Parts: sequence; C-alpha cells; structure tokens
Amino acid sequence: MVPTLSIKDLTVSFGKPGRELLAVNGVTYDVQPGETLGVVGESGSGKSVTLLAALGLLPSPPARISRGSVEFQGRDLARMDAKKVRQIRGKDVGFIFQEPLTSLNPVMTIGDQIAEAIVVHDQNIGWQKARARAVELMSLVGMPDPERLAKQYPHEFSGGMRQRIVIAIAIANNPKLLIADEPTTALDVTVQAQILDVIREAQEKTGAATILVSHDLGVIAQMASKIVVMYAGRVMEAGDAEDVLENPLHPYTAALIECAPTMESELKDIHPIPGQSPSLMEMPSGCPFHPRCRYRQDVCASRVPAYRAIGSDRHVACHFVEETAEGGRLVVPAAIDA
Amino acid sequence: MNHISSQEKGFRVVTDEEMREVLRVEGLTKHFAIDKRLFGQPRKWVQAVDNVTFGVRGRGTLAIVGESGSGKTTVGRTIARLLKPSSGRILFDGNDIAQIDERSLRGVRKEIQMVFQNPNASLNPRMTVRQLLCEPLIVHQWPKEEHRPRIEELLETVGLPHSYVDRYPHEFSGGQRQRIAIARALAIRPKVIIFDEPVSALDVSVQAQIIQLLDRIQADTGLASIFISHDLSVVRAISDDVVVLYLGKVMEAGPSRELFGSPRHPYTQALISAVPKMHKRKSQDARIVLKGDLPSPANPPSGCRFRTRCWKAQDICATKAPELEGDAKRHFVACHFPN
Amino acid sequence: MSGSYLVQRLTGALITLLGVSIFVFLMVKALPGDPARVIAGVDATVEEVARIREELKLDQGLFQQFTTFLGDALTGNLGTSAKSGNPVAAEIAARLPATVQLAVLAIGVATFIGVLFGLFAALRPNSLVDYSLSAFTIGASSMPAFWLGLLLIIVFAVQFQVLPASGKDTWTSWILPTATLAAFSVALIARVTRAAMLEILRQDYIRTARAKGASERRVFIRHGLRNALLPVITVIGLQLGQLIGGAVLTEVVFSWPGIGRLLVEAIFARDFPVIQGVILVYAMMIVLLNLLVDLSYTLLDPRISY
Ligand SMILES: Nc1ncnc2c1ncn2[C@@H]1O[C@H](COP(=O)(O)OP(=O)(O)OP(=O)(O)O)[C@@H](O)[C@H]1O
Ligand SMILES: Nc1ncnc2c1ncn2[C@@H]1O[C@H](COP(=O)(O)OP(=O)(O)O)[C@@H](O)[C@H]1O
Ligand code: SF4
Ligand code: SF4
Ligand SMILES: [Mg+2]
Ligand SMILES: [Mg+2]
Repeated sequence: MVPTLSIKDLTVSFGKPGRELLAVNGVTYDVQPGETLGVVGESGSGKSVTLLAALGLLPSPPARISRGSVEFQGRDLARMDAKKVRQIRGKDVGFIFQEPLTSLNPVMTIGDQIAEAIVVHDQNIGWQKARARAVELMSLVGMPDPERLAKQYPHEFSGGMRQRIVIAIAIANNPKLLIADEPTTALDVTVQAQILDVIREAQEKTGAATILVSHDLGVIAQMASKIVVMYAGRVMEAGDAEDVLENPLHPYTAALIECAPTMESELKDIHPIPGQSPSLMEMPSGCPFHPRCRYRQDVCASRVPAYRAIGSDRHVACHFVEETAEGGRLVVPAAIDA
Repeated sequence: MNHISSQEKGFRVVTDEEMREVLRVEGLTKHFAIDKRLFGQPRKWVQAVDNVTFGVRGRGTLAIVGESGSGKTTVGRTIARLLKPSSGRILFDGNDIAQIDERSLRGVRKEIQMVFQNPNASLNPRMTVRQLLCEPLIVHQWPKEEHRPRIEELLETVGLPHSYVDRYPHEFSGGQRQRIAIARALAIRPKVIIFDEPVSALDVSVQAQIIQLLDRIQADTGLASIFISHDLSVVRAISDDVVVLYLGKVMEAGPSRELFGSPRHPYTQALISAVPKMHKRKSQDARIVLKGDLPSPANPPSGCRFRTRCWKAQDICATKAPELEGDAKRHFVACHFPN
Repeated sequence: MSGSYLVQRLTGALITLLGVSIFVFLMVKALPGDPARVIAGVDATVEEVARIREELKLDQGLFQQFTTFLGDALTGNLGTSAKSGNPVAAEIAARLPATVQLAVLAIGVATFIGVLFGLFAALRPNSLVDYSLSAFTIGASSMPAFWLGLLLIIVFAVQFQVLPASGKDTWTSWILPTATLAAFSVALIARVTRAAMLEILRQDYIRTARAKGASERRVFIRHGLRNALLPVITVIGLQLGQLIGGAVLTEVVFSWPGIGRLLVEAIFARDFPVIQGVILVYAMMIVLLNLLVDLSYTLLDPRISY
C-alpha cells in the first residue's frame, strides 16, 4: 500500500548555510490511509517544523529542507514547485493548528473563511455555493445554528468554537490527510474532549489519514494507533501506540511516560527527567538524550545511535536496544542514578 | 457558613497542626465592573468570584481547579490582597485581612506570597538572580549580613547551582526561571504561597521536577500552599484538599482522596472523565463529554450556574441555586442531585 | 454601532470645538496690537477708534465678549475682515473649496502610492524596492513642505518650465502642490504599511490562509492588506495636524487660493477676525476628520463595535 504521507530522512535547517541550526534531523515516519499517527515530544523537539516544512509552510529563508524527501501519495513534495504544493495544501491535506484564538482572520466572516478553502481549489463553484457548503460543514463540526453564525466574525466565538471552525476549513475538501498540530493544547479539558470527538468524526467521514501532534501522552493514547516519539529533532522510537506506551524500549520514551502525572499515579510515581531539552545552539554530541539518560555509556556521547527496526513493528534509536524473540529489550551494564 | 464548622466534628483523626487552618476564606466575593461609564454606576458586573469558602490546612496544599475563566486566579490574587475583595472574609493568623489598608498589608505581604504562571513576565529582565532574590529581603528589611547566606540557601533549596547568581532571567530555561520565581517567593519565609499555574507553561519532564521540588520544600519548611491549576492529574498528585470552581462558585470541595475517589458533583465527574487516560483498556467506562462552552461570567445562568451544561439538570436547578453542603468527611458539594 | 456612541463622540467633538474657540478668542486678545486701531487706520482720530471699539464691543467684559463671539460664530457670523471689510464667513467660503480639493487629492494620491509602496517593500523585505523606499522616506519626511515646494518650483517651473509655479487655473497647476503635500504622507503611509504588513504576515491566520492553499496574492490582499489598513488609518488620523500645517505652507508656496494662504495673509495684516475664523474652520476640519477615522474603524474592524 502506498502511504498517504511518507517522510524520509527529513532534515530542516534554519539560518545561513555554514552556520545553520538543525531543527529537524533525519526524521523518518509515515502514515497509511485511514490510520491515525500520534507524534509526541516536548516543546522544541521538531514536531511542528517537520510537518510545516513537509507541506511548504515554513518561511524560506530562513528555513530550508537540506536533506530527505516528503512523499504524498508517492509524489515528492520537497522537490515539487511551490504552486503544485499549494494545490495539494488545503485540498488533499487539511491543517488544524494549536492556536485557535489567532488562527482565523479577524476581519473576515467565518462563513467566508470556510468557503474560501473551497473556492481556492475550485474556480467554478462560485462563492454562493461555497458559502452554502460552509454552512453544511459548520453543522458537521457541531456548531448550532450555522446559517446565522456563518455571518459572524471570529472574535465572537470561544476557543473551542474557533477550533471547530478551523476543523471545518481543514476538512472542507475531503482531504486525504488531516494534520492536527496540538489542536487542544490551548483548550480546557472539557472542550478538549469535544474537539477530539469532532476530529475523530471528521476523520471517519472523510476517511483521511491523520497525524495528531501532542505533548500529552493521554491524548495520543486515546486517539492514535501508531506513535512517533521525538526528541531534539530526531525520532527516538516509533511503533504501535499501545505497545510503545505499555512497553517502551527507548530510555527517553520510558522516562517520558514515568514523568507524566496521570489520574492513576501517585506523587511518588512521578519521576522527573533531570536537566532540560537541549536548545538548537547546544545540541549534545552522539545520542541527543545522553546528558539526561539514566543508562548512558561512553559510546552514547560520541556516536549517534542508528534509527533501526526492532522486530516487525518497532523502530528505535538507542545503542542498547536489542531485538529479542518477544520484540526487544534494553540491555545496558547498569543504570546510573542521576 | 455555620454548617461547615458543625460538620467538621466527626472528621478523621489528623495531627493538630494539620487540622489547624492557617488561612480561611469565607464568603469571598469579587466583582469586576465592566462597561464603565464616565459618570455614575457601571452598567455591568462580572461576578468573577462569588461567595467562595474554604480553609487551607497547615503544611497542606489546597488546589483550586476549574476551567479557564472560572475565577481561580482572581481567588488567588484576592487572598494575596493584590486585589481588594468586594465582600467576604479572609482570616489569616486570627485577623480578617479582607479590607485592611495598604499599611497593614505590609505585614500580610511578608506572610502570603504569590508565584505566577508566566515566569517571564514576573521576573524583571534587567535584574540578576542575586538582585531578584535580594529585593524581597531589602523590602522586608532583613539585616544585610544575612542576605548572602540566605541567597545561597535559597538556590540550594530550588536546585540551582550557585554559579548562576549573576545571570539574567533570559539566560535560563522556563523551568529554571520558575525555580527562581519560587526561590524569590520563599525568600522571606512566608507562611503561605499561592502558586498560580506554576507548571502549566513547562514541558512534562520539567513539570515533574517542579512538582517534586514543591513537595520537598513543603515537607522541609512546613509551608502551606494554594495550588491553582487546570490540570487534574497534577492536582491529584500533589494536593491534600481540592476546591472545584465553576463560573466563580464552588461546585465541590473536599480532601483530595475523597473528591477524586468519589466525586459527587456532575461537573467534577465530567472534569475527571474528560482527562485523557494513558491506558485505553482501563478507561472504557463511559466518558462524559459536556456540551457547549462556559457561559459568560457577566451573565451567568440563573439557579445553578452549571445547569446549562449539566445532564442531570431538572426544573428546580433553573430557579434555586444549590447550597454548598458538607458531610462528615469534609466533602462539600453544591448540587440538588449529588451522587 | 449604537446611537449612544455617536452621541458621545459628537459631544466630545463639540467640547473640543468649544475649547478651541476659547483658545482662539483668548489668543487674539493676548496678541499685541489694538484691533480697533488696525481697522480704523493709522490716521484715524481717537473718537473714531473709540467708536469702532464700541462697535466691536471691545469695551465689554471678557466673558461677555466671548459669548457674543461664540453666538455670532454659531450663526455663521465670524465678523468682518479688517482688511477688506467683507464678512469673514464669505471670505472663507470663497477659499475653502480650493483647500479641501487640494487636501483630498493629496491624501488620495498619498494613500494610493504609499500603500502600494509599502506593500512592495513588505513583499520583498531588504530588496532594492525596500531600500529605495527607506531612502525616499527619510528624504521626504526630513524635508519641510515649503522647502520641497520651492525645490519643485525651481526644477519644474524655473529650470524646465514645464509646470506652472502658482495659481490653480489649469490642471497642470495642480501637480506640484499635490506632489508637495502628498510627499510627506506618502513616506509615512508607506512606512506604516510596510511595518504593519510585515507584522500581519507573521500572524497565525496568514499561515491558516496558506494552509488552505490560497495563492500568495490572495494571502497578501485578502488576509494581509485589510488587516494592515487599520494601523495605517490610525497613523493618518494621528498625523492630521501635521498634514494641515503642511497644507498651509504648500498653499503659501504655490500661491494656492485656499484658506491657508488666507490665514497667512491675515496674520501679516493683523486681520484678527479672519485669523479667528480660519483657525476655527481648521479646528472643525480636524475634529471632523478624526471622527471619520474613528468611524472608519468600525467599518474595517468587526472587533470594534461601539
Ligand atoms: N480586572 C478584571 N476586569 C474585569 N474582569 C476580570 C478582571 N480579572 C478577571 N476578570 C474576569 O473574571 C473571571 C475570572 O477570571 P480569572 O482570571 O480569575 O480566571 P481563571 O480561572 O484564573 O482562568 P484561567 O484558567 O484562564 O487563568 C473571568 O471571566 C475574567 O474575564
Ligand atoms: N522560524 C524559525 N527560526 C528559527 N528556529 C525555529 C523557527 N521555527 C522553529 N524553530 C526551532 O525549531 C525547533 C523545533 O520547533 P518546533 O517544531 O516548533 O517544536 P515542537 O516540537 O514544539 O513543535 C525549536 O528549537 C524552534 O526554536
Ligand atoms: S543511546 Fe545511550 S544515551 Fe541514548 S538513549 Fe540509548 S542508552 Fe541512553
Ligand atoms: S444543581 Fe442541578 S444543574 Fe446544578 S449540578 Fe446539580 S443537577 Fe446539575
Ligand atoms: Mg509545535
Ligand atoms: Mg488564571
């Protein structure tokens, strides 16, 4: 099966050649039709940059894809000209962003903003019809009284409602791929639950593959069937979501799960990871996680671990993860107590 | 709120110190005028906090939870007397500090400190760590020779190397800045610190560091704290008591274990159920998804404020506001049809 | 927009105008020179001067003089010119259209060119267009209107003799005054448009528009420009005073038959009633334009509703 989106060895840098900073370094993952892929990682780990760069949404300069490919249904977006990518954006790929309060144009009615998504990809439809379709989309994402609301402006809506509008824009053209970049991070839990439901329904109706970015493992566990764990611009671990969360192989994944408070954990079960994520300016040598890793060895500081397959369904970038009959396990001489 | 004290008698045995409340808030109310006119009375009021009552136990952490706009920050700022309450009592050390004047407030400021959500905004970017930590000592007239040892002690407490003392806030990460803000609040040894979303802006790994830090500080110093947060899993882990606010009113309050173990108010149940669980299998029990958004606090629903989103609402809920009533376990709930 | 907001704004405007009229009235009182003597002429007798003083009610109390002045002004009676003996209102009415026409034309031209310039500069920051814009901006805004006017006259009227230096007889005589008056505003508008546009292009909703697949032109015009116009209008509103000052100087330099030149002539002739009248009219224009700017916000920005 051809993956809906396949990112291979993607490397994105900022700044002038020679003095560039790598925000994303050799990222590889893909998402199949109808599947939901969850991308987790702390802030600055490159989750957004990967996807924005893939779809040509990063300002260039200063951003540049310096290596790798991004295939959408088999066609390489990284080498396609901007106009062609634009025809895919918004039509075959819908975006939902983190900031519902600022993602909508304040001086345009929401009906027009949804209709615009249709009009720019279909010159023949005309605004009249597009507006009617916008009203349908609004009721699809659960907005009451859409006829009337379509004529209102974004500031008249709450964060949750604005996120629904953004979702309506994203699914306006029945996309093949839905990218939701922390769609609920700015929202209250009760509203988050509503929005996740809307995304789930939208995905069911359109049959789109979905990439859901979040720093909340709970959200990923609820929504995704596959998971990608990113750290410092690299993928640390990827695999079936449930497996990875139950049985993490990579020390970072394990640490991330252990430090997140849940509705089951006690204070003593929360184990912080010492230190902090590195900045782009001072990226550690070797394994980027080594300054914070409990299992680090000398080799970790000098050699970057390869991102490799472990078993049939798992990928890990750690020197000390070994394939076993049951899948894989971490084999290190001893844990260092940080 | 007399029924509260009468209900307290049958409570489980805890140490005297724990039981004693360092701070008590009774009927706290704060209204903000909006739509001000040049002359005369304002036309509209936001009831940001309405008749809120709770007590903070010695050495304890009381958490205030609720959706955005529910009045958490306003409660915090009012207790720290950065805002003047519209009415109600704030009992601290046997005195009501709700309406006292600026001069008497000096003493209060020494005992009640506040740490804000955004450490970038609360730390002066042009001051070094040393200056930032010195400032409260100077303001509260600590003897000069004690400044240096106190600063060393504070840095030690919050886990920052002493070599950082001459750096500026922008040279630190979010987590480190929050440590500085905490050190600053601790500087003059207050009895109570109000933390307003101290970890919301931080990465989970760093958030966990700060949570553990706060717990350790409390164990070491006997500090009482008010912890404002919208994150229920964090609150569950660190709080002894919880107050659930909705549109400025207390919906439910009680010891953390009680409240999370057997939530009685429909709103609390919905909040807890909305937290995404890490393990799919265990969370198959029916999820409650509230419909709609928080109504405008300027125009709250009649009767029970939660009724527009409540799935248990009956006719009476629209006409009569439920009283906050407690049981023997100090578990209070304001609902006509609690669980 | 509620009616009460309009009422409130209009009340504010009236209070401002009242303030201006008090100021104008007192200013003339404080000026050296006796208006009665000026009107009577140098060789008038003491009796004649006294008679004129009485006629002008200069012998009454200050407050009474002011209420008379205000009452007259409200009924359109701004007194008579000391120099020509004509009613001031008539003199102003004759000159006002020329001023308004020139100002409207200049602002129109300035806005059009300025916004266009600013857009190009924002489209390609740090490009040649951008740099020439900054150079032009610095040049134009550091050059006083009369200086630029004189320069233009020297080049186009004296040196090449392609455009008339004064008057408003043919359409060609409009070019230099319009250019002079517009130059300052063009620079300002271009600069503000550029800054506003660059700021707007960083906004999240621009990214949303791009994510929809909208063309760059659509992103720029439909999503960028409309939002960028708000600060541009604010700045124009704030600069009205300077613009009017520039208009007065421009009229003098090009002998433009507007109220600006009327004012300067009146000042030289110590023609106090005319000075008062013109300043009042200018004040009214500024208040009115400010009102228009405020009201245009509500049209452009749905977030602002009164
Ligand atoms: N100075 C003020 N003037 C008018 N209204 C105010 C003011 N401060 C707060 N409010 C209103 O009071 C209500 C409660 O605000 P508050 O900041 O306490 O909420 P919160 O629970 O802390 O929310 P969040 O989770 O977003 O921080 C809100 O409706 C808010 O708009
Ligand atoms: N326009 C930019 N210029 C320079 N650095 C950037 C830019 N955008 C993002 N970055 C950097 O790229 C890294 C990855 O960012 P991002 O993908 O947004 O992280 P996240 O995982 O939180 O989505 C961060 O270190 C960020 O500072
Ligand atoms: S490679 Fe080394 S430092 Fe990196 S995660 Fe594995 S053990 Fe830890
Ligand atoms: S009082 Fe009524 S509306 Fe309010 S929470 Fe209870 S059942 Fe729901
Ligand atoms: Mg991001
Ligand atoms: Mg708050």
